[in-house]
Amino acid sequence: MSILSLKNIHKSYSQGSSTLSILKDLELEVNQGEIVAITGQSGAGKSSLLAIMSGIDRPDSGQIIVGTTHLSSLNENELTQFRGKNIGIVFQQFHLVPHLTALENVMLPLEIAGDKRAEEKARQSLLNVGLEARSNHFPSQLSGGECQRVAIARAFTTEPEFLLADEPSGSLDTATGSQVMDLLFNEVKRRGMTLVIVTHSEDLALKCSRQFKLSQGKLIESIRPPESIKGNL
Amino acid sequence: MNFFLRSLRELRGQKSFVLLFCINITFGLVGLGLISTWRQAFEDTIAQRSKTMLGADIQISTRRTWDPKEIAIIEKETAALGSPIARSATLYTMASSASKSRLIELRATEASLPFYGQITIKGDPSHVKRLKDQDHSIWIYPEIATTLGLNVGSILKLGESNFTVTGITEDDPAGSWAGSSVAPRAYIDIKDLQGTELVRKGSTVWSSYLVKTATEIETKVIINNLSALLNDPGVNIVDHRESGEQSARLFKYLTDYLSLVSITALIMTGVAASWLYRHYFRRRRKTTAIYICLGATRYEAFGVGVIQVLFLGILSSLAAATISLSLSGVLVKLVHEFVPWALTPAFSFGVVAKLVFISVSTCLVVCLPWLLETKDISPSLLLNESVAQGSQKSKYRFLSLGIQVLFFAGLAILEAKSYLSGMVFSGTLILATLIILLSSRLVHKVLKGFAAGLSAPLKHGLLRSVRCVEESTPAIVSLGLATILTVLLPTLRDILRTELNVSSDRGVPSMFVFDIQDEQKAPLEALLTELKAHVQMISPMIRGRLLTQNGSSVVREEMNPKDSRDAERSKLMRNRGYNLSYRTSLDPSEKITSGTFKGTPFSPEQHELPEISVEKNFADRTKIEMNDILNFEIEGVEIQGKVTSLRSVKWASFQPNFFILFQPGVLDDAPKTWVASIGATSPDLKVEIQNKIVQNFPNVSAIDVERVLSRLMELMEKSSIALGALALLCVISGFLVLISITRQMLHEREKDLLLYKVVGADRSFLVKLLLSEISIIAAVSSFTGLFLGLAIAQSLSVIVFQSKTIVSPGTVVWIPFLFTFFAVVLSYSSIRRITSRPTSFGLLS
Ligand SMILES: Nc1ncnc2c1ncn2[C@@H]1O[C@H](COP(=O)(O)OP(=O)(O)O)[C@@H](O)[C@H]1O
Ligand SMILES: [Mg+2]
Repeated sequence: MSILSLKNIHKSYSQGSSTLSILKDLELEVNQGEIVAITGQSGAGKSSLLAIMSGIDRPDSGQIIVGTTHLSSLNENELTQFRGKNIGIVFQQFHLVPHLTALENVMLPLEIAGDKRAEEKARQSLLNVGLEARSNHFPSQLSGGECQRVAIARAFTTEPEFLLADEPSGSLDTATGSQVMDLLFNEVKRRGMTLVIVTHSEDLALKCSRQFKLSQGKLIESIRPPESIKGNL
Repeated sequence: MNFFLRSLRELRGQKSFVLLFCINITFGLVGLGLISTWRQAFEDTIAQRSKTMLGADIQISTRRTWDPKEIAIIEKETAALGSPIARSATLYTMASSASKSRLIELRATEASLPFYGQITIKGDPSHVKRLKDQDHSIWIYPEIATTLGLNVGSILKLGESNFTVTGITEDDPAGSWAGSSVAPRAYIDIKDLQGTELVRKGSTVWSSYLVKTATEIETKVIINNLSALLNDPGVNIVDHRESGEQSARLFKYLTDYLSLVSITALIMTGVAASWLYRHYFRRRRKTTAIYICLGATRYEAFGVGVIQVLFLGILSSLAAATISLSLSGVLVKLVHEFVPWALTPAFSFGVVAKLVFISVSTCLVVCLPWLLETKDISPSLLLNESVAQGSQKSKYRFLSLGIQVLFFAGLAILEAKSYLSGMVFSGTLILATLIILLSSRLVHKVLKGFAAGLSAPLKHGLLRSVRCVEESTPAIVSLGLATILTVLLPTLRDILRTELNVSSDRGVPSMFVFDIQDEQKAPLEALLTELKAHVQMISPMIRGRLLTQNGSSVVREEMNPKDSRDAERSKLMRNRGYNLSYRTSLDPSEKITSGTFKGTPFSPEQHELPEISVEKNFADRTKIEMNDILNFEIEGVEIQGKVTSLRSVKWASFQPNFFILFQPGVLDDAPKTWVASIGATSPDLKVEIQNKIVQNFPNVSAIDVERVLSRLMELMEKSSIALGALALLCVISGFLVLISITRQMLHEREKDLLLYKVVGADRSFLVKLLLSEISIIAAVSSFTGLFLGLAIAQSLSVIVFQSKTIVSPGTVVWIPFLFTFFAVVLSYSSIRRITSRPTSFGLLS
């Protein structure tokens, strides 16, 4: 069953007098429970694509359907609320709210959605990422890896069906990065969620069920032997 | 040059910072600019007109009668240089027409006066009229003509003589003082004064010798010689400049206080400017690090910062100078009542230079912590994300705070021209700031407890305001100070209104009768009883001269134009000559603060010196202490006494109070006059009392205290309008600070707000969040300001007015509500703008 479908997506930025075409007639179909990797050169438009998928930004033309919802049919406020409930996002720079504690950061989307059990759920999420001991610390008191785990907990806490991650290990050292990514993948698999992850790491991409490369404004799927076969070679 | 251009080029990309920074400093300076232009106009007028105002070069005056020896000295010293002299006498007296009477200020002058300038008489533009041309001729101010129904040719009675009105004045270069509507002036020739019998023993008369000199050097020589020879604090010797300065003391005091209010505005906007600069600095760190990486030295980086701040300072001061120059002409109405002549503010290079100096140093001082930090920037921040963030606090903040406090306290002392006022002002300001900060933290703590129960946007608004105190501190302080000022003014006015109320028995008297001769006391009292007038108090008044204090002789202290207001006031007090009195019991308006007051009659057998009670402030200013031995001369007789008590006197009671009270039984036989205060009367009775007194005791004068008070209230209203205008400036500055900071804060925090959006917060959530944050900041600071303002008013009321009145918050309690409302309304547009931005904004890498 398709959970995300992008059709005929065009996006360009005007820089002064010239326009820069980033996405050209892009198509993508992601099914429930898939883990999709997107790679591509820096500047290829990966982040732009992610912004469009999440409804943070709108395409110049084309359709985005998340579940059964056409994002183009939503206004700004509806879109924001929809995103809050259905889409989790993890950033390279973590982007925690600096004046809120770890717990409060995780509670934030629940509170905004008016969830009465916000605190309880947030504590559970923190527990899942192994940070229950740091719940009253502010982001400035946490390491990069811990911050990213808080950000992951925050993305999971509303139990969205669909998660987007933009180079989530990009700001972390290799060891921490792979720990945090393991955590992310395990949670996604455990919950049967769908994940679209932008990454530079070949290793990480290989762990995903499908890999795409963004180039010339289009996504090209790399056909690779499935993990099981690869192991036998 | 290259370096200079690079510094300014960097500012080019920061237009919104430059604009906000300059607007703040400019606004902070406008008040000082206005006052400086007024003061300059005042000094210019004195420089141009002081000679015609005095009508002479030198004035030598006293409130007692001249000693023949003194007259001989004055005549000899001036004759030695061939300088002409002339006598003049000024006194307050009753003038009456056939049916009416009123108090006037009578000036009796010799025919040669004024040496400079002319009094213009209506219908006589060529100045042909002379007082001496006709015997018993009088020139009167128009107010006398209208109130007594007089015309040229009418008869006016002064004491025992009748005068013919030969002129109604049109312009008097001597100017009229702020109280002239209570006692308008009239001129007669001094040869006619004797016949009026107004000048009797102990009467209150200012007798002067006026001198005309050929050169300024002669003026100095004569003043120096006479000062040395007439060594008595009771003799006042001034040149025309000094005389002009003294005639406008009210203006000087008013501008002193106005300047303190203006400095508050400057401090408030300075705090905001400092805050804005901090953010600018943080944005600049990376650029600076890159420069350093590319070979610029740390001191070059520091130099760039200094040049930028200097540029901002100059820009702001020029703007402030333009605004204050263009406003000062219109706003001069606020202070014109306090100057006896017209002020015309004009462009002055000195004022602009002063503003540039104040502005540049203010900018340097408020930016100091970050400027100093500039030279510590290391290129390593380019490699490390957490270093690049930098600390929110400068490590030079304590050093800088010290310098900032010293700078503004110094400015306050210089502008108020008084160490005392400057220090009290700075102290109060520091204390108020601390209390505002402490109480805002306290309120935050309390509010935090409620956070859990609030709806999500309110809760997050609260959390932001509580946890981002660093950000909101300047707004809290500015708005708090603005509220204090706004609360203080009407509250103090209310206190004064209550204090100066002529109502009850023991209230302020409605009439004051003075110059009552000893032998007139009994018949006057009988007359008053017959008229059913309520005499509140009748006190003897003996004119004396302090010869020695603890054996060392008391000499006159020369006034110096460079004197601080404190020195000026204590010299004036010392030099004014002493009025002594005695009484058996204290008046309710008096309170002993140290020692004891017996009031029992002195007997020579008591083997101790007679007791003296001294008013406390007077003692402080003239440095008289408990147990001092004071030696007075009264009409050639020396009388010694010992200070056995200090009293505080509630002067606002308007009772006949005296700085020095002797033990009864010592001065009973000294030549004296009596002063009486009469309680509340109906207007009709008052006129009757006044007329009867004039008929029966022509030399006795009656002051309509109610009229004085209403004039006083009028002046106070005027000064409170002036103060209010500048306080308004502070309030505007306060809001300016709030708006600048909200704008900047929203800008800085745009990323945070986007995060809220990313996790699902819609626009109305963010609007609610920001509005609640701003209203919490505004409410906390303005309510704290309200309480502090009331507390300061109450302390002033107790300390200055010895009042028992409890301040009522009724008239001011709406202020914090209004301010909070304003804060919300004013920041609403920024909030709308920021929350309606699309979400796509550099969150993704
Ligand atoms: N808001 C924008 N305005 C103009 N150009 C943009 C904007 N956002 C991205 N770009 C440009 O679009 C291109 C793709 O950017 P991005 O999506 O961030 O690429 P990637 O994440 O693959 O590195 C880049 O050349 C970038 O400069
Ligand atoms: Mg990117």
